[in-house]
Amino acid sequence: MIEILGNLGLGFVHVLAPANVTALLIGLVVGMLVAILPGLTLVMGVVLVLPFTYGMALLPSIIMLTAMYVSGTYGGAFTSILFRIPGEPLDVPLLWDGYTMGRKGAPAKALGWTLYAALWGGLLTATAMVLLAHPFARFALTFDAPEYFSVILFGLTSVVALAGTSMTNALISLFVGLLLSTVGVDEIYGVQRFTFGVPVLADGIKYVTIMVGAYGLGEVLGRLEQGFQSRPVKRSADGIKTELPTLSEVWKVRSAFARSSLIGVLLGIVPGAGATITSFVSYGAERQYGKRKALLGTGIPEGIVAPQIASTASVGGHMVPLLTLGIPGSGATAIILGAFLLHGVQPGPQLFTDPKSAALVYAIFASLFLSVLGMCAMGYFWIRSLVKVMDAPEAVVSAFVVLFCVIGAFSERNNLYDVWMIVIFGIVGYLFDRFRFPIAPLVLGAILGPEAETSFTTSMISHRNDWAGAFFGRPISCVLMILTIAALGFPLIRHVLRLGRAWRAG
Amino acid sequence: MPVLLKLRRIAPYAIILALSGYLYDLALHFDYQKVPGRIGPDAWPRIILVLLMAICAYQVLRLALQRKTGEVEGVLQSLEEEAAPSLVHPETEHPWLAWAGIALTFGYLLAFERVGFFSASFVYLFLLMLVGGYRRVLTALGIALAASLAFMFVFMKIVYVSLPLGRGPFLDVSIGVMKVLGIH
Repeated sequence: MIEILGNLGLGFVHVLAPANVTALLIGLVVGMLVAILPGLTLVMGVVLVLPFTYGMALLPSIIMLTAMYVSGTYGGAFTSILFRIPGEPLDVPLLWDGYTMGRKGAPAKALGWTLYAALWGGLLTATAMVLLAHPFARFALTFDAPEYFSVILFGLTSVVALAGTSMTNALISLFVGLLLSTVGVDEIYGVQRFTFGVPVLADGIKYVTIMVGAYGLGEVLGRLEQGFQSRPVKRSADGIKTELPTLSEVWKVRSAFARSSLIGVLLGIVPGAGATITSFVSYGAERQYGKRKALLGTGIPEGIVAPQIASTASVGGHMVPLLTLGIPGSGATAIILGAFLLHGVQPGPQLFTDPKSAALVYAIFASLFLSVLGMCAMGYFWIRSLVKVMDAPEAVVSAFVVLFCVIGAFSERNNLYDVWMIVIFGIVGYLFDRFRFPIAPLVLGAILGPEAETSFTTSMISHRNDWAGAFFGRPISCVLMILTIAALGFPLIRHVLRLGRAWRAG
Repeated sequence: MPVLLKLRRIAPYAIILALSGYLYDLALHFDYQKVPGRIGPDAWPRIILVLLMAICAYQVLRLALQRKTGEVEGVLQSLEEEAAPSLVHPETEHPWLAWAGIALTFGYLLAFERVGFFSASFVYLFLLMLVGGYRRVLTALGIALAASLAFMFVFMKIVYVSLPLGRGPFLDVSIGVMKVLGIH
């Protein structure tokens, strides 16, 4: 424990270097802006910033992206409460009680509850991250190829099982992603696969182009299809201040604080349960178990703190499997993993054993604490200025997004091929969205595909093609495989039971 | 369900199924030295393709037979749909706008090297704003100009990216802009 605290202290010293503080501030501001603007999603924003990190050192890059991620879970609360415009899907639950409280004449108080919730959720998640990461990493050090394959498979299947869409479509999206990762020269045999004689395909398809295309351009095309909001939102936040609740008021909703904190951190660790999901689940839990569940939706504090705490608390939860196992659990953490890989660093338990990289990890932990404090200060003092970005028409913002995508892709290798790939995956992303195939499994499949294939092939070779022995004959791997089967089986069983009930009811 | 609607629903799965079949055939013919008792570089893609084909075939059959078995939903689908139906199923859809955006982007990339970054981006941004429904033409022109200049300045002067300058008269325009921006 003393060692952890000492490392964390050193982490704070690293973060306070001017370059890192600047990256943190930029990340906080951009994250807030992205969350406020209805045409931009948080993941899209993180993707657009990724190309700017090519020339930066690893630590400020990760600090910037993490700060964006955490402040993105908070920024949209303002537009939801004040204007009934959720900047992100994760802010939708805030409409029910946050906006209602505002309409009842207490918007400042609603903002105060949000600030407390974000602060509590953020600090809690940062603490949980520090405490959980080491045991996780120590456990992961015992992993061999079969365990790695099983944990990746579990991560990917839980993304599919939790998908807010048809599970078959999510599986198709995942398999397409895994298949894309096989394009190019195979690492073990050196054989060209699916290159169609095109020399550039021998290098494989870069997952960055898939991410930027599908999340960036694809989403712009999707919004274009729905018709951009061409007129700016003419609403004013002038005169609105944040009014903090008193400690006795906070004490009255302590059970909501405790419940949503637990849901946020625990669901955050499960791959696939992003901030949106935790926010909805936490509100749902409040509706089911809250002391004042009958009053939810009428503008009570529990309806504000539950989704806000859970969505902010999920950030640290997501960072734990990313840093200790190299497995991203959400779109935003997939991009942060991309930033690590672009700098030649593979996240995993080894990060914690090497003193140099351990310093990096603790600096990231420290930056999360500072990000939470920074975003709350920003929300308290600057929010009236920040919400002014809503005056920008969506058509203009989207045109900028596309240009960012194009230049971002071009600037990595000064090669138009990468830009064409982005356009192709932009169209793929748009079509996926149109036919209700989720994007996250595609991207995660493309990123984790090579690691999954290598660990699968190595396991099969070392176990002489005995797959049962490799994956079910080792305790950790066996448990993970059973969890994988359960993750896939649960929605299926639920579906069959529903059909049975419908059939019995005639 | 009308036949056309049914075909439209089946089409994505049928296309992916056909493509997977073709790729599976390609995977069968990867050129490598087989080692007895060891899986080859074709094993992993073939496993994925078989699973992909199986799911697509299931979906095609399910939709074609129109069985009332419904869809296996992700755990949180009903939660999201209940909460925000407008986010899950938007009310208005204009696919032609998206395809116009795609056509514009294709045109932009085709012109990128010939016309140069500055001129191509200026025209592209302006047209994309118009397609997106922004009707203040003069403001759009101003924004497109300012954005093209700003992007050129940031990426050429600060990030040191060698953006295409174009050919013929477009090259002169790009060089003129670079002089104005102080890029050497």
